[in-house]
Amino acid sequence: MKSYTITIGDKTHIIGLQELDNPDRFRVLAGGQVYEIKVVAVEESDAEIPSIEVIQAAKDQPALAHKAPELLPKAPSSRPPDLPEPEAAEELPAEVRAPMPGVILEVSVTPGTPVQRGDQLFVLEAMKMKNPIRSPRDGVVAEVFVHEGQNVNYDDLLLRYREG
Amino acid sequence: MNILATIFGGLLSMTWGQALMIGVGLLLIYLAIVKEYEPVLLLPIGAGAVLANLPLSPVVGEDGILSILYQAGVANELFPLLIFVGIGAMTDFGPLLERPHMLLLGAAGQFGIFGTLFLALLLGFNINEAASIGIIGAIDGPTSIYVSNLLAPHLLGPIAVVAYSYMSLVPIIQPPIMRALISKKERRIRMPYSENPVSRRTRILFPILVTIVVGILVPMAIPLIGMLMLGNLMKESGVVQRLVGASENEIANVVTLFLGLAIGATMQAQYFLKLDTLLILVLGVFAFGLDTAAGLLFAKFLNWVTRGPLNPLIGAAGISAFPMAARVVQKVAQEEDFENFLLMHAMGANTAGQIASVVAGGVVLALFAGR
Repeated sequence: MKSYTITIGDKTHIIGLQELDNPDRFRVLAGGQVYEIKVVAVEESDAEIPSIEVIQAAKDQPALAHKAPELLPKAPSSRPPDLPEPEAAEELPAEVRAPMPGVILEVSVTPGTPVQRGDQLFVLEAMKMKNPIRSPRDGVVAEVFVHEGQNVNYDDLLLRYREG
Repeated sequence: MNILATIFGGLLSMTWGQALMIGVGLLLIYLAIVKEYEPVLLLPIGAGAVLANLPLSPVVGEDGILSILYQAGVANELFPLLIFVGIGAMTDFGPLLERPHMLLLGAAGQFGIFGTLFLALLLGFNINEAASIGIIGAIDGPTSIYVSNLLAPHLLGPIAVVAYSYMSLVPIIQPPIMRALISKKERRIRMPYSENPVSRRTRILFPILVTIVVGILVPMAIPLIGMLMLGNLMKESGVVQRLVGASENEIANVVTLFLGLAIGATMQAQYFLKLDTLLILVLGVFAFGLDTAAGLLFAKFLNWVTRGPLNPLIGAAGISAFPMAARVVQKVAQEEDFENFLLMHAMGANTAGQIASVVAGGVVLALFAGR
């Protein structure tokens, strides 16, 4: 999933966008919700903005079938919905585990943070050395399981990515 | 005129050598404060050098404080040995006990001692001097001080300064050698963390057994290995926290201060400003480089023989210089692949290097002492 920063008026939103198999289908992450959308070209004289049809929205979320700007809910919801596993899964790791025992000195992301491969997720202190733990993939953080100052053992679950 | 001579006596009797050595002392203090190169040692050494080279300075000579410290703890080897108790109390041999084969890398990391020794012989140093210079290749400050004080006490100052200065330069000296000798592909070899918990009994028996085995094989190493392992036994026993705390904090700190000052005091112009010092400076960096290269190439060989996975970078941690060398390994490996965590493996090799350098010091003493 690639993330984009969109400014509408004076508000800045970060959305994630992922192409699906079908060329006019996308998975969009906006305001803490995930939508599957289909882009439909409409023949209007004044605009070339295609209309967007939301095919599958998260639970408890009224289906949105408007033009692009309204797609972004204003307040991000605190908990992400549980989404089904992807069918055509690439081999992306779904989670990050502790590579060695140590103490979490810093947690650099929170649920909802979009990250790219190489972004720092945590700082793990082991043998008195600060080791950055970086994201093995692009994605969005779903859940963080550790807090600063916490001792971790090898292979402890640190973070889960949001589906998509 | 007499009054002037009395007042400005110090200035009038200052030699160029002393002025230069005060400059060297100030440089060490600068490196300690601004660059934070081993500040705990280089600051007292620099201060000792300045104090000892001020003209007419009463700190050296009969009843001078620095001379008393030197006689009390350096001439008779007391201070470096006390520091070893502290190092033992601070060292966790767990990463090594989980991967005993790392001992081989620790042994390979001592190759520079003998390579440098031969080079020093070629440059005209006598055998005892050459062995003392070679011991810089143990990359271990207290071992260098201990051995050179027994074999060639007149070289103690330059050797200690060179050993500690280069130790702080490990992060600068090692990476270019690592990149030159180990291919990108090899640097990317991932070594999964192997969880292989070591029982408390093993941790307690380890220092005892090492002391006895090494002691029987290399009697000259008994003071060094004995003190190191005593500290470690106290730590692992878990029943003498107060002694462990004193060893790794109070005793280590006090002794480090005394040791640094006393070493600084040996850097008097007439002994230090010699061609030998410059040669030792060059040979020292050669020893560090040779150790690193030997460790890397041996690890490369091991990876080839055992079919791995063993990232040859680990070999660079076999040089002792605990724990800097292990951190350098971790950093260089992460430049290639940030998901590769070699730190614990490197720590295993690093503590192995610590033991191996002490044994090597004993071997050098056994070979050359008393000649």
